[in-house]
Amino acid sequence: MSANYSATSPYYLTGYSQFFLDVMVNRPIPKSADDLLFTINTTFEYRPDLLAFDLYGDAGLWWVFYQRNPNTLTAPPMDFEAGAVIYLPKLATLKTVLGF
Amino acid sequence: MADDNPVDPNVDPEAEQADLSAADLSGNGVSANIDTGPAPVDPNVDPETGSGEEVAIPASDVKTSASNVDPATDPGAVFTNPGAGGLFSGSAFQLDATSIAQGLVSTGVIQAQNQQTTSDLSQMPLNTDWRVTLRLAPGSSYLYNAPDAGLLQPLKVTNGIIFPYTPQISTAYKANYSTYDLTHSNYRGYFYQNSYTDQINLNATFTAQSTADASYVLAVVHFFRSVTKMFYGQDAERGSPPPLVFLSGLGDYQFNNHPCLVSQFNYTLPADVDYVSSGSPNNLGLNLQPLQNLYSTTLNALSPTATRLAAAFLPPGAQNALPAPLQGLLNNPTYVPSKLEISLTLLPVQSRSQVSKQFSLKNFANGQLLKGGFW
Repeated sequence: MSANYSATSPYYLTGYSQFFLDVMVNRPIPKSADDLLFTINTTFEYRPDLLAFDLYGDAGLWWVFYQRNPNTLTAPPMDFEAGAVIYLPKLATLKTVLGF
Repeated sequence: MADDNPVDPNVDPEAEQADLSAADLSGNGVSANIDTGPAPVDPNVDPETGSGEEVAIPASDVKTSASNVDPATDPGAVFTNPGAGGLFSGSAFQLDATSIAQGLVSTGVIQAQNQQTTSDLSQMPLNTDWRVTLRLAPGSSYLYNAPDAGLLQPLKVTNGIIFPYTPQISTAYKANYSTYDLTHSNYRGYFYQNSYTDQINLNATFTAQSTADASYVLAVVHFFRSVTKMFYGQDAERGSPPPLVFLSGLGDYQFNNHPCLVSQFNYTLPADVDYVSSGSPNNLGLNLQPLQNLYSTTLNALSPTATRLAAAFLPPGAQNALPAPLQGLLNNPTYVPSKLEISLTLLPVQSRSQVSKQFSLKNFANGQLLKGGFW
């Protein structure tokens, strides 16, 4: 049984038994050739939620940056540092992949 | 006073109100212990009235009839929105027990509203941008409003020039009088000729501590270079004189979109300050161009989200192409001083139509015309 999380949650596909989440099912974000390359600035430093809110209107999508940049971002949120260069998935891509 | 003169709750309005304060206001009924029946009040028997002290409620305001006041039907009783903590006014302050009880209940709500209002008022100056600005006409399509603004692109984000430091502005209002000298007279006579607003001298300071600041300063300098020239040759508006600019700042009654012309622009590139490159990568190889306009957009009228995205050059949803950076500047940096003093001479302009159809000394004196941009 799937957990009762929204489609924008990283746990949306993760199973649920009784009161416990099952082993997490990953939700990878595919690469796209026209993903934006963004150098994190001081405004969004340590704030992937703020960037997700500004870009997509949902702070709960902060985790998509980590899924899209697994080699650059590994330890949220303290590695979301100014100067780091990451790819930003498009909202249309997220809607297609995540189904919200 | 009260100890010496026993108070009869049936006749003393203040005592009745005191009883209501102690009433049980819990549950759904706020008037369970409140006497809402007829309560004739006679100020003549009120012990407070006869005590010689100041009367809390004037006798003229005391209702002497034996009927309840119905806020819904009594034209003199104004009690607005009692369910949401309404307010008494006018004759509703008379001694109707139900209304008083409702007023007591709403006291906390009113206090909370007043606190919020006070908080809003204290924060209001922070929400008002009173910096001095110089802008082109709204809807214009030239200079920084041109589709390809180039060097002037930083001014597009701030919709004109925002002076980062309060400039020195000198304005002179003049009335001309001619003289006539009478023969064999001890005094000179004057007859009025005309009045006018003399030229405005504006001295301002710009500083640059980053490539973003430097690009802005360069844009400012180049804007004033450009705004003193006419449209000519290949321009679509060729033949038009230099455009009007509009001065605002320091509040509605100082400069409020006052139209003027730039007749002179002076600046000196000092030799004793550092110079900062505009639009170029810094020593670390990081491109700081996205930080352009960061300072100027933080207090802009945009929403916080739009402001942050604009400062980072990010489109909403990450779906559109990024704004084109100033590639020419990136490859060939231009240097501007870290501190630059400029001076402007502005000519106040009022159109003939404005003068004939809108001006009146009465409206100018009471301040209305200042909001309309009248010098």
